[in-house]
Amino acid sequence: MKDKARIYIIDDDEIFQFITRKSFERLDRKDELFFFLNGEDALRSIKDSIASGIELPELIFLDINMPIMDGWDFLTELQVLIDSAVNKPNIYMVSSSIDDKDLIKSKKYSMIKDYIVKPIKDVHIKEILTSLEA
Amino acid sequence: MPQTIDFLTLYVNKLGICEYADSNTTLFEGLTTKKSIEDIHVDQLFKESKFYAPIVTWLQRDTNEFWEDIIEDVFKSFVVSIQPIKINTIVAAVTIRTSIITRKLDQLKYQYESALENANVGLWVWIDVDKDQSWWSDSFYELLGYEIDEINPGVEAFSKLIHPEQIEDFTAIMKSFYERQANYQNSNQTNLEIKMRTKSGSYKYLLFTAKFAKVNNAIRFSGTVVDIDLLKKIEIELQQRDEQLQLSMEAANMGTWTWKIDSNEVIWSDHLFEIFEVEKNCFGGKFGSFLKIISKEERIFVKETIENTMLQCETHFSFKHSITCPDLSQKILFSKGEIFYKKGKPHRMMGIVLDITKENSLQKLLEQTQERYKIVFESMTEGVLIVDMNETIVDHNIAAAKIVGYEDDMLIGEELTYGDGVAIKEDFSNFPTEDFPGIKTIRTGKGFRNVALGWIKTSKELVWLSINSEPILDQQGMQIGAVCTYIDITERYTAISKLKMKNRQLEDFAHITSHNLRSPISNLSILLDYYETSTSEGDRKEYFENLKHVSTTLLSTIQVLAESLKIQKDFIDDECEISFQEVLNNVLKLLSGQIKEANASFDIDFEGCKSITYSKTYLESIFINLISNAIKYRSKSRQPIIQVRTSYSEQQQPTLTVTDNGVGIDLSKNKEKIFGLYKTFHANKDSRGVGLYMTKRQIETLGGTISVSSQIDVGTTFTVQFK
Repeated sequence: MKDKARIYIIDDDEIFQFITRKSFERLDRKDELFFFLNGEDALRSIKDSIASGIELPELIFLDINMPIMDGWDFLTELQVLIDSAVNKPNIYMVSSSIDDKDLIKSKKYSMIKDYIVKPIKDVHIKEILTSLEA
Repeated sequence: MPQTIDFLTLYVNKLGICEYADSNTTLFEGLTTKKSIEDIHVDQLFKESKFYAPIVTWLQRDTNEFWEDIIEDVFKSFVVSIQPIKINTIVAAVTIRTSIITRKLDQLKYQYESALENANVGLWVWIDVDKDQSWWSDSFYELLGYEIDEINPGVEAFSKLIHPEQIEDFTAIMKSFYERQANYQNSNQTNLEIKMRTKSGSYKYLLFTAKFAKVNNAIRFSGTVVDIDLLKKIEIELQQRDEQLQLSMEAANMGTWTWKIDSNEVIWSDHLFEIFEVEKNCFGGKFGSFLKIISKEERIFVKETIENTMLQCETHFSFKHSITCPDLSQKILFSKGEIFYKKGKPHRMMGIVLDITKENSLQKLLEQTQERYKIVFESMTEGVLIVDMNETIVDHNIAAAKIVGYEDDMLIGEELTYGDGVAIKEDFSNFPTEDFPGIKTIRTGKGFRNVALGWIKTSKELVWLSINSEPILDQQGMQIGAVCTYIDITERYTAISKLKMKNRQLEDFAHITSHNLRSPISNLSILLDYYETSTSEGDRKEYFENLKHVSTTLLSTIQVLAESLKIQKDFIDDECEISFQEVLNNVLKLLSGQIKEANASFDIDFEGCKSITYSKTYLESIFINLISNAIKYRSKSRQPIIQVRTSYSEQQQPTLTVTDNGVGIDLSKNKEKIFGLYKTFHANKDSRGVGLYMTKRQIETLGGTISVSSQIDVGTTFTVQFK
């Protein structure tokens, strides 16, 4: 993956957002990072991108539990939005939930690349980016 | 199809002899007596003079004119015409034809006759009594075994066939008929059983019905005849059996007696002496002698029973009584009698006596069994209702009434839906009558198991029932009712709902520990890692600030968890009767800052329900959360108005509603989550999660429920249903 990718981080935990920003900095990359506190904000941004012809994010880190619109609802609506898109985003579910129910549910969404349990550090992010390059 | 007309043409000479004939039918065979009709004088040709007389007269008149008339027979009329002709010796062509009208009647007659023949019924008509003219249907001949031309129908032939025993009776009947014929108008139908000889020589019982009519001044009888030989034989057999019955009566330990009341003479059958164990010569033969035999205690009862029957001019009586035999053993006897009256006075009495000592003990056994069964039935803690196909309660045990709050026996004869109570489902909605298991079983024939039904008794007390229903079938497998059994599961049900709630709370708690504790801890671990490995002083400072922030959050989360753990019924110590208004006043004081800032106004009405027995702390907490919530999510475009109301629900539960005119919530997305916990407990952030989670826990812990309805940009209503 090129080192200047569009990446969405959708999580209502501001500390997690801070940590993730720092993680990318520590990887010394020049990615464009977009932070959203809930699914609805992120979805609006994607709608805008489609409308104005801006390319979709290549990578999305998606939390499950968020106010207003949670991760599952976001996925359901996104599926409809990008159904016809050629370059679909790589989506990673990132949650502190170790509940089996969430893990099983994530298997039902074909769009989800993987389900990652927090904490997620710079090294983990590097691994993901490398695997995407392959 | 053109209608054909049956006709017979006779070519007659001056002497009245038919030289030859022409016909298109054999129907006229009935009119003539001969097989061949040629070269025969017309008066020899026809059975009846009405057919040949006009021909003879016409020939005698010698007028040589065309003549035509209608001649009526039993069922049809004929058109007879005489046409003068001259061919050799022939002087007239006599044509007899059926009229078109009678042709139709003919068809009808045949339809009827064939129907009657199939039913083994003969027809007969005695056309003219004075002239002894008769007609018998083919079926009548058949009954007697004769061919049509073997007997000339009429009284003469008839009398010859009657059994000698009955000749006298028949002659008497005929005689009385002649004497009374002047009075015969349209007489009623009379029936007569006559034993008649058939061709084979054996006798047959025939039942004649006869009806009288006067036609053209001639007296006519007509009627049907039915073969009742078989029936008669059965009747005779039955008579013989009756005699046999006398014998079987004895076999059944039955004795008979007659009491000639006038002469006070009591006659016993031999077997009756055996039953009473009395020697023939020791019996006085009077009514008193009979009474003496009956044990003293029952003597008056027996005497009165018989006397009352006579006093009321009734004819039948029966009673049970006991006697003591010479060997001191007891016998139970059943007496049944009939009283015959003469000129309104009892004249004679007859009856039977049955030894029912054995049966009586059987009866007792049966009663005992039934009683024992009833005891079991009544001792059941399960309610049992038996319902018939009209959905009416036929029988039930004490428990069945008690469980639903009624007195014993009160439900018998009532409909299954009887009573002022209210039936509810598990979600407290109305339980429709047609869904009651018993009613469904009656209507569908299917059984139902473990149907949960809440019943609010007239006393407002709620019981939970678990109902089973099964169809009752008779021996042929037809449904004749339903049996409903139910148990009071209120205790179990309450325990289960408590457990369900606890379980839900535990799930919530697991969710919290999974999300709300894991998140900050994982953040902590990374922050510490980055803090240690960072070389930039600025970054390290930033990591440290965040570390402090996360640890504070973690602490507050743990505090909230500790708080929520305290929400348990056992920990509540301030339950008392409290006024809604009083609690709200306190809360409004506490929230006065927020209220002032938002310029919120209140619309309060507690008239529906003024007070409640509840934990004061919890009620305060509920008000604080719901009202601060309403203020927080106010609409920026209008002044916040908060409506607070109380009332009683259908199930008499106090209900509180808090309605705002705020921004509203999209419930299609958030309904399940609205009372859940989000991972952050930031006091200054979206606190709806924490507040409503705590509120819900408090309400549920005390057995209530909370629900929400909302419309975006219109407002939100929270409804709290207390227990």
